[in-house]
Amino acid sequence: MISFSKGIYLLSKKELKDNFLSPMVYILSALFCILMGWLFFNYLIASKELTDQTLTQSILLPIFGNMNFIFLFLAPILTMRSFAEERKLHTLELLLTSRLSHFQIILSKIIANFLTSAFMVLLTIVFPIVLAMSGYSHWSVVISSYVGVLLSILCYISVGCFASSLTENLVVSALLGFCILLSLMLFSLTGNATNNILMAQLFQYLAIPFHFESFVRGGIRSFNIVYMFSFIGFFTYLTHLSLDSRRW
Amino acid sequence: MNLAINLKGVSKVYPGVTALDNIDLQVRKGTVHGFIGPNGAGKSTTMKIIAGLIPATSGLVEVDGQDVSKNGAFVSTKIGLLPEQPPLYNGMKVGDYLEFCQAINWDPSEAKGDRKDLMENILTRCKLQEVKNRLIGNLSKGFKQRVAMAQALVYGADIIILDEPTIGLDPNAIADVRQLIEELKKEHTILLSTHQLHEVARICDEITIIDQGKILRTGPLVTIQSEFSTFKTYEAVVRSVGEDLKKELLAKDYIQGFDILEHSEGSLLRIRIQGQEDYRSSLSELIATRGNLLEFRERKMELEEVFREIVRD
Repeated sequence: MISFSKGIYLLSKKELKDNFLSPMVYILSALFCILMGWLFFNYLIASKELTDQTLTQSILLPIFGNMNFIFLFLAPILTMRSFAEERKLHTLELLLTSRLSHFQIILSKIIANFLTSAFMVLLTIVFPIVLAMSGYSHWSVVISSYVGVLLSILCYISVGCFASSLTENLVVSALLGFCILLSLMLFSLTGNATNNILMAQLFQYLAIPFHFESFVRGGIRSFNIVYMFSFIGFFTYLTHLSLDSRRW
Repeated sequence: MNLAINLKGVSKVYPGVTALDNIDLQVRKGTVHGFIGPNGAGKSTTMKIIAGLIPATSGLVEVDGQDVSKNGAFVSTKIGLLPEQPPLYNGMKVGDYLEFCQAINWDPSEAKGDRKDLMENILTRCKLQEVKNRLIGNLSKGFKQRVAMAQALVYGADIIILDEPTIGLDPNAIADVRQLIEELKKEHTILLSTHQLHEVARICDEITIIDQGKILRTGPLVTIQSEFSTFKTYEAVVRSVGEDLKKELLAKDYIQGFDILEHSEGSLLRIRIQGQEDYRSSLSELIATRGNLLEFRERKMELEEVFREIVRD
């Protein structure tokens, strides 16, 4: 076996290069920037009217909430090629007969897609800079919000990679990823529908937005981080099972 | 016996289908082993099991004396696999792709030389130097196949598994692949699956014939061919065939019959002999005295005829 980190480095470097050589990333980045810029501009204008709210409440909270929601659509599109295309081009055999383990392959794909998404998120750094120019200085909230968005995206990517491992059709992979993510989002609504408090809390806990909100409010708790990493671990394991099912 | 690949009692069962039924296969080190059979016979499944891509339902699979199910990492450096569908990233340059394949399979403890030297050697051998900076997706099918073969060689594997390497190639590209296999023969053990039986007859030392998941015959090519030759055929190239020669030939009770065919230097006399006895010297003498003998040889049964015979049985 190649050393764990070296194997991941080799494959994620190749994946990252593939991502940035394809026009898809640039098209998605452009769309994302236009959408986020338009939303930011609107929240900025609207914040003039909301004199009883801080800039964090009137601009940052909604902007990060929207960013998180937009990635619900973007993440499955970014990850749809991960395994589906490898299956389609028969290059998955090349990886599976190499010295790389399943987990090295899966983590490399997740890391490459995460770094691609992080590049897109990085483009929004201009928003806090604009706010700083008008005297905003609540940087801890900005940092925790970015950490929250990035962790949330990491969760979405793990789901997208799992969906991609189930099929060799790119469109089916993206739709499947989106459906799984949407179902997970709807957990919080399911929680509202029950009178049982325990059940309501359980459903709420299982939904990603519940944990994401803590980050955006600047109150990161250990269980939020445990949830995020358990979520990623669970879908990484499911992807491993999906790859292993080729051998059944 | 020094075995590169050893399969004992290997079965592969998919729900409702037995792809391989208790097969035994031995490939000796340093040989080119032809693996032939009709479509769906189980060739690719066997090759995937040997490469560790799928597990066998039962039986023992050994590569260089190591159990594939227990030493997957060892097998991945020992075996270079060219699957039926070449595993190529069309968006990568040839050189980058081969470096990537080398990096994910390279084992410094098993390495026999320098990585860069090996890379240069493979690029030269596979005649890829001129295209190493081109995108794989822009190459012709022949070049793509060469790149796919190079990826199986680029990390110094001892055993090369080639699953139909000449499929869909033009005659020139087929000749190139054949030449490459003949060169590789000197340093590697090769398991070759192909439908080009004349290629098998030219390149392989041993063959295995498989059909419906069962091994029908395995062993040296010459032995299998002679086993299926129920009669011998001699061919003589003569300037002309006179009536007295024809009469003499018909008078011999061991001659089953003969045909006279056209030949650039005169005629070709094809004589069929009953049984396996050797009549070369007596017949060549007879033809030399009665006609003007230019060439005399024994005609071996074509592998294609042997294959059809075995599969029909």
